[in-house]
Amino acid sequence: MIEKIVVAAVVCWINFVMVDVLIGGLPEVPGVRGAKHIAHAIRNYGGNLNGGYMMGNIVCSPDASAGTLLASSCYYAFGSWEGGLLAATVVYFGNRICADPGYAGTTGTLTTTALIFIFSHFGFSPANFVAGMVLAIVTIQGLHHKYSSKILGSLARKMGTIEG
Amino acid sequence: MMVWMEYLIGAEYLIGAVLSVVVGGLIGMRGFPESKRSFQPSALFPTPVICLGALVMIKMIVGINIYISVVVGVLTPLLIKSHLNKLCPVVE
Repeated sequence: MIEKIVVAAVVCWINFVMVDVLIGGLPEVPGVRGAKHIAHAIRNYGGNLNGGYMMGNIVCSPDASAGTLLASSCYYAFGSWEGGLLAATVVYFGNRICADPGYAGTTGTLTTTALIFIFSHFGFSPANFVAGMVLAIVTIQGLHHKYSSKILGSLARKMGTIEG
Repeated sequence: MMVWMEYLIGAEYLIGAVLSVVVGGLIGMRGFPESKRSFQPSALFPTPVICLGALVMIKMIVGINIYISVVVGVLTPLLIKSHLNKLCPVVE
């Protein structure tokens, strides 16, 4: 049980960070004013500005992390991948309400649904992914903003999303 | 066997999603999104996503078959083109 949750957490972490950085472009610019304020506060605290933009965007609108959690929860509630499809639509409208075009959130929801479908053939349940995603987002938003923003900033730089 | 049955059940969703993209292209929607920051709906995003979500909701209420998939696949891009930006206004 514990090992499945840990594996699911690693899968969720890679999934949401990849989608947010590559498809959403979250570390590039703050989507809304709130994200900008969060990023500047994190920089003043000693963190990275671009990592801060991504963390601010995660807080201010449903991105791939929220999509991952909702896809897992809806997959669990429906008992099939159809829950993930419904979650994608809900996340898209949630994004639009939060002044976000919704590419990261919706794509993250669909990729998570596909991942849970694949992993369900290896004995993983959607509940493992719900717990795993909570652990994954705690490592970004809950432990240490300074270091997590630096990790996100350097990942975005290595993937070529931001320059410098 | 179970895996194949799941794919067969998904045929209605596949028809709806493909049809929504095709109809979206035919009614003059842009094929791909303009950029990562573009709010303008295109045939590939979010048309099939909303079509699939609508089909799941319809399945929960009355059930779906191929005919319902075709109707939803045709109506979704029309409604998205005419109403999405009024329902969710673009914030600059």
